[in-house]
Order: sequence, then structure tokens, then C-alpha cells
Amino acid sequence: MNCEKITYYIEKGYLTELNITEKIQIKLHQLYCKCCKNYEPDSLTLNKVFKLLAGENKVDELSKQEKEAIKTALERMD
Amino acid sequence: MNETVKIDASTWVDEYADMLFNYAIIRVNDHELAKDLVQDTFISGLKSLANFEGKSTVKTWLFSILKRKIIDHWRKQESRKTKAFTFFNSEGMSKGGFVEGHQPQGKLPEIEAQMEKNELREALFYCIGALPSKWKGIVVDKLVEEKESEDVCNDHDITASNLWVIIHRAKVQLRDCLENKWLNL
Repeated sequence: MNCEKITYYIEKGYLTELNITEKIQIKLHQLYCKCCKNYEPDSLTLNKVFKLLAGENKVDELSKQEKEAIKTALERMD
Repeated sequence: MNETVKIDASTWVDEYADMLFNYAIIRVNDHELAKDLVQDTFISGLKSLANFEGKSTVKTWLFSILKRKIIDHWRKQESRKTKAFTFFNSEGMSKGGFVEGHQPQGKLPEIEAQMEKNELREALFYCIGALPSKWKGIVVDKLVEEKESEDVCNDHDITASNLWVIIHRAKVQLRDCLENKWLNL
């Protein structure tokens, strides 16, 4: 059981190019390990959903009033 | 305060408040807190205006102040939490294997269709929030904002292999968190 190492290789593979040994180790391990076989689609889903939190999908924004209040607070500073 | 600085402060709000707020909100997920952090950033900026020598742009300089404030916030928040959980067995026959009860079920792809739901966004923010403070900035930069690995490493002063290790540990925790938080409701 070296799921810790295999999942590390899977993650590393999303960040950089893996060498052939690492790729083979993942494939061989996944032949008999359901956890690591399941881990891959789960992890890919995380990559997809987390990036949707940024960008044009604006979570929230400051209102005009709030910006004016900040300006007032700054003007009051000595 | 002299007249030039006053004008600057007001222009700063118009020019940088939205950018700073966007940066803060995806990292703290709390409107009031993000607003306060932005205001504090401007205040710190004005107070230390004398130290700003124009070596960087105003934007870069304000962002560096905000980043420090967010890290301080995470650290304060973390002191109340318990130690990080280990997801792999450290001894015995199943050494290196997933700990019982935390084995990946491969169910997360089901959530993709529900991305529009606010509850899912909240669950994602909750899971990021549960990460150790040292990892949060790195995880948001890399997984949410998809910055280049090289830039993330430079910004956080870590090596490429540090980044691989941190992202691996964080993803294992995020995967487990989301499976529990979202699918077992």
C-alpha cells in the first residue's frame, strides 16, 4: 500500500510532466487499488470546481456607499 | 495631512478598492471582513506613505500590505483550531494506505453539475478555510486563481517540490472535506 506516494504522483502530474517510471507506478497501482483509482476523478473535479470560484463568477463586491464610507474614513485620518 | 495625499487617498479607493476586495473576498469569504481588510490596507498605506519610495507601483505596494493582513487574519483564526489530520496509515500492514473511513469513493464528479448552487460554493470555501494557514494562500493562488507554478513559488518563497508536496496534502484534505461536507448531507 503506497497510496500516499501514488496520490502524490497524481497531483505532481497536474503540475509538471511525470517521468515514465512515475506514470507506470500510478497505472500499476491503480490496477488493484480502488482508492487511488477513485482518487483521480475526484481530484480532477476539485481542479475544475475550485477554479470556478475565481474570475468572472464574482462572489461579491463593494457597494458605492461602502466605497464612500472608506473614503470618509481615510479623509478623517490625521 | 496635506492636500495631495487627500486626493491620492480618494483616487486610491476608486482605482484599487475593487481589485483589493476581489482578492480578499475569495480568501476570507466574508463581506464585512474583506471590506475592513481593504480599508485597513488603505490606512496602513497612507500611514506609511513616507516609506513608499516608488520602487514598485502603488498597486503592487497596496497588494503586499493586503497580503500581510490576510496572512495575519489566517494565523489568528488558526490558533483556535486543532492539529492537522493524517489521511494515510503511518504503520502496520496498510502503511501508506488511506485511513479507514477516509477512502476516496470517486463520487465527487457528481457535484460538477451543481456548481451553480451557492451551498456548493460555501462548502468549497469552508474546506479551503479548514486548511492550515500556511497552505491557504498557496492553494488559492494555484487552484483558484491558477497562477503559474513558478510565480506561486516565488511569491511564497518555496521550491517546486515544496509546492508539489503542499498541493498534494491540501488536495487530499480538500477531497475528503468535500466528500463529507457535500455528499454526505
